[in-house]
Amino acid sequence: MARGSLRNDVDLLLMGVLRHGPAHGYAIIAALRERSDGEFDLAEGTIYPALHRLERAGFVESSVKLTQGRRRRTYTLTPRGRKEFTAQRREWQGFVTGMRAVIA
Amino acid sequence: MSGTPIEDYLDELLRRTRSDARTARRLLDEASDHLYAAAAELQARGMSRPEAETEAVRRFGPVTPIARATAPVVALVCETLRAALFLGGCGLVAVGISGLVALVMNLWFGRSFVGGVSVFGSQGASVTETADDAVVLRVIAGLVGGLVLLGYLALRRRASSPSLLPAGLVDALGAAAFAAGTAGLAIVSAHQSAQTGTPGVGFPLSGALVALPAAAYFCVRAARALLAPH
Repeated sequence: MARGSLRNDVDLLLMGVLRHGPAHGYAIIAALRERSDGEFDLAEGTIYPALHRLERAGFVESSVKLTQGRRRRTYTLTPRGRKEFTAQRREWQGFVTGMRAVIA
Repeated sequence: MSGTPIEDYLDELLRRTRSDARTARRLLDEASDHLYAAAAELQARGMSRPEAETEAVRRFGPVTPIARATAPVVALVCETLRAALFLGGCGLVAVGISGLVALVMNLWFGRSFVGGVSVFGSQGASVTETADDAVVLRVIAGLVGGLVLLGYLALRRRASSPSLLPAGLVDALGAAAFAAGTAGLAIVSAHQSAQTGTPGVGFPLSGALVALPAAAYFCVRAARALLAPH
């Protein structure tokens, strides 16, 4: 089975965080770090181009609110994004199962 | 003008962003919100304000990959073509300079030193023709290279943003190309010397003598670019 690129993995991680509810970029990074026990300590700025890409693909949508005098953009997973997340997660789990079977 | 670490970072991000105005503004908004939120959190944990801002910027990551990830493909293609124009121009200018080196060799060692490579033998008109061609054709190539470099400079002046290509990449490619040229031409010179003695050796050797300092020059540029703080 073919595995996607690192870009797909980042997309999957971002959608994985957003499936629990809307979040802004800083909260997404914090959630990624916390849920992975610090394993996914990405350069924080790299998630924004990825979020923009997911929005262009229709997998997330965003809205802006004024918070403490600053414009804060919050992202929400769309129904289409949820389907995409499920499909990518299935592919990832298949990959992990295959790897485990070989290297265990 | 130097501001705080976050302001400096946002200025640099704005300078390097090649996307449309809306995407650029949105990216800056998000980066600004993110960096100030991170700095506030770090400050609340006991860091001084300058330390917190520096750490927030470090965690956000270098500007170039972010700007590159948001740049339209056409901007990256133009950037690559511009780099190719620069390297091509430098290559042609180096060929031109090697023509001048061949001219000096013709004057000092006689025309057979450069022209002896002729398939018609090492004597007579063919040697003269080869020796002269090694000068004239190469100098013409050098003049074309000069024009190419002028075109490159004009394009670079028009482009208001710094490069999106990784720092040192173009210089490293230049160093690799000139180093390969030096090695290849030196091998051909040695082979020619073993085959015929001195006649014809000047033909490749004049190129190697120019390619070597060019490789060193690009190595220094690449090292400076790679070691510079980003």
